[in-house]
Amino acid sequence: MKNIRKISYNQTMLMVFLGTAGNLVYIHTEAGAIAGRSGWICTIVATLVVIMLCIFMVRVGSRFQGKSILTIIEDSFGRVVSCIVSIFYIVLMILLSATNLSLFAGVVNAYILILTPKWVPIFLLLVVCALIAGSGIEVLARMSIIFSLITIVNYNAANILAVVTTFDYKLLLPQFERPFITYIQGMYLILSSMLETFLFAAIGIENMPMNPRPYKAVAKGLLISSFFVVTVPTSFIGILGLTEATRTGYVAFNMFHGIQIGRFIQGMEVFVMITYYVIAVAKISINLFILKTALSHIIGKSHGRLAIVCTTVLVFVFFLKYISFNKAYLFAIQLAEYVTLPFVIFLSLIAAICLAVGKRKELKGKT
Amino acid sequence: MKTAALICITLSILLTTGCWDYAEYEDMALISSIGIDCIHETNSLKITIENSSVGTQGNQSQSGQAGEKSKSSSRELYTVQARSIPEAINKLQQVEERELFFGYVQVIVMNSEAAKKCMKEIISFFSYTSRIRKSAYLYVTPKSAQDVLSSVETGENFPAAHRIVAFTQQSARNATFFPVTLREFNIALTTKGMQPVVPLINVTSSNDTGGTDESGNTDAMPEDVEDKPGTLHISGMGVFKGDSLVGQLDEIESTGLGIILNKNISNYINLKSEDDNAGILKNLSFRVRNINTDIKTGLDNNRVVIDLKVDVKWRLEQFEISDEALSPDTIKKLENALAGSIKEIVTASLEKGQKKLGSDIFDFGNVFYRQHTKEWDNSYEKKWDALFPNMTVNVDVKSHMLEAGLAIRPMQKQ
Repeated sequence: MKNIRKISYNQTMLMVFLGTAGNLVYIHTEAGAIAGRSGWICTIVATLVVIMLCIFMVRVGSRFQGKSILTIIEDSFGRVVSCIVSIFYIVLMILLSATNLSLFAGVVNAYILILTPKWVPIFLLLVVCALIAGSGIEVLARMSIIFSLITIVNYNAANILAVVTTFDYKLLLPQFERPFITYIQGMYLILSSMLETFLFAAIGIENMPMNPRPYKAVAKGLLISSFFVVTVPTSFIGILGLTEATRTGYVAFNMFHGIQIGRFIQGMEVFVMITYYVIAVAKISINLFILKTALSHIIGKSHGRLAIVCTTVLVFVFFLKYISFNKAYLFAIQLAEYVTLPFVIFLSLIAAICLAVGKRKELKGKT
Repeated sequence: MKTAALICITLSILLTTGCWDYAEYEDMALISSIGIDCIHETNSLKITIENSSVGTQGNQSQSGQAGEKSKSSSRELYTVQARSIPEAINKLQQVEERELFFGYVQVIVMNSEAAKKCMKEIISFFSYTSRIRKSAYLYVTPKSAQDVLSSVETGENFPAAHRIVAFTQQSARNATFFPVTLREFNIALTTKGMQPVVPLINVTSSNDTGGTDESGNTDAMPEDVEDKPGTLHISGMGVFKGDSLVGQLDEIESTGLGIILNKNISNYINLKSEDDNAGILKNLSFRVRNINTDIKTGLDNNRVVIDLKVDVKWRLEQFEISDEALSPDTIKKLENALAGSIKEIVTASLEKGQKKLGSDIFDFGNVFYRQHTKEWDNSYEKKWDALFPNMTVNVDVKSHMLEAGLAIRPMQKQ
């Protein structure tokens, strides 16, 4: 068996972290609205479920080393089935990327470039993402280290400053005051959103290191994201109150926009803008890489450039369709709940069947 | 790929040299305060804005138009009547050739009529807009917001916003009010068991609004506002019930509210006790160093009982006693005297807020919600407003003297 080790353990971990954070930066608002002050418990439970699913996926990948889920399906069920799955992958990732871009464009448009048409900064962002994704997973992995550092240091520095000066713990109380069903609903929403990581793991497994085991890197990346998304919304509620913290998307911007420390320090939303930009670039680059891999699987690996150009154009076209922040927000939630989750369940089942088929073939070979 | 990258980078450099939002600093009118007056008869708003960027930019381009008189001033004031704040902003932009920039708004002043009748609309606008920071301070004035913003100290022409912010920064030493930002107002408005308060601002020696139209004509063009001599005075708090102003607390009652809400207080408290035979409590002055209030809620036969424990640390600033030194007995008497005084202040605040205004500005409801969540959700949330005015509140004040400077004995002729 060949072991193509294109990216390192830490790079895998940080790519998972950025990919997951890209969704959670806006989805926690909805989870907070459903589950209230104790929305953090939904994130923790959802993380554990996603870790288990990813461990399973990576285990399948370890069995067929150097192959992505699409290649594994092709080997087990033939080219037609694998191409159908690829098309599903492409459609889903295009929609997810387009909604992600619309949400980010909304933030830019609301606070920074109010009069600039939304498509201008997004077009430039997409060009950067396409260049990164088109250069291969090694470049993407190297960028993820820089992006993660910027995200963690920059965001936490601003957040700590805000917490130290403005935080009121009383706004976090009482905890667990809502009915049990609301936590299930919140967990379901966060889980559906986090499952994009599973989609990345299923494609990226062919490039992940096999020693130490890749599932550890994926699990660690998810745990870092989870920690990030548990602590940060908690600080939002402690600073803005529950209603305000669950009233707007990308709450950090709203929060920093309203904080003044001492007489002169204000406008800290610039720090958040940098973080959001970096997360958006990382997230869209990862999505474009998945798109490129899925399309290349259909049209041939030698047409990688064509694949990246086509998918980028499609993402941009769909972004223009869902250009409204509010429409994109609702669509992103529906997409996660009604499309991503069923697709992941389908992929898990098909991966389990592939694993069983592989084992049977192995046994036959031995006998 | 390298060629594609080169093309993309070159295009980006060529196409992003400027943007749609590009504006020179000199082309922006930096609005530092907004005044909102509600005109009851016509159900319209009179919006006054203060542009404090005049002095820094010379304002040489303006001639003949509104604003010309402000060349010697460090600010310009415009006012206009409109049906809503966005409509007013549109109209104000018609007389200001520079872009109205609201990112530096520090102060929002509303007259009491606006705070009573139009607060829902005002807060709705400020909650949705991303143009104005939530760190802006809110004030209510019993007069006209326009009068407050147009007032100038004799011989000075500082923008009203700068003066109000300077007052705000001294609130702890004053203790007759505490600042409230838009963010804090929103929290109080939307959190269970809380009611908002907003400091009161007044202007003295200024004539009532004159020269500006109060006819409610929302089609009229904006007009500039003359500076008027006047002294700003901030004391007391406006009390809201939901999004409507229902009354106000005077200086003492506001200090009591600050004590209950654990606000930063370091003001002087004077004591003059008449029934003190030893003469120890004659002409005493304390300076509060730290106040810590703990609120506990309980249920006694389904009746809500509130226990307030106030712990005051203070410094002796003035005393006239004949003893040679500040003996432990004397200090104990002083501590008891101050505790009694603080209790009176707190009780006065409770009396007004609880009995007369019936608004839970003390956050008792929120404390009860946190400490007895099930009971709150099941029954007390709905009947809290009815129960609140007759609730038993036990006030227990403990006071501790920290020092009397470094003095040990009073000043005496040897």
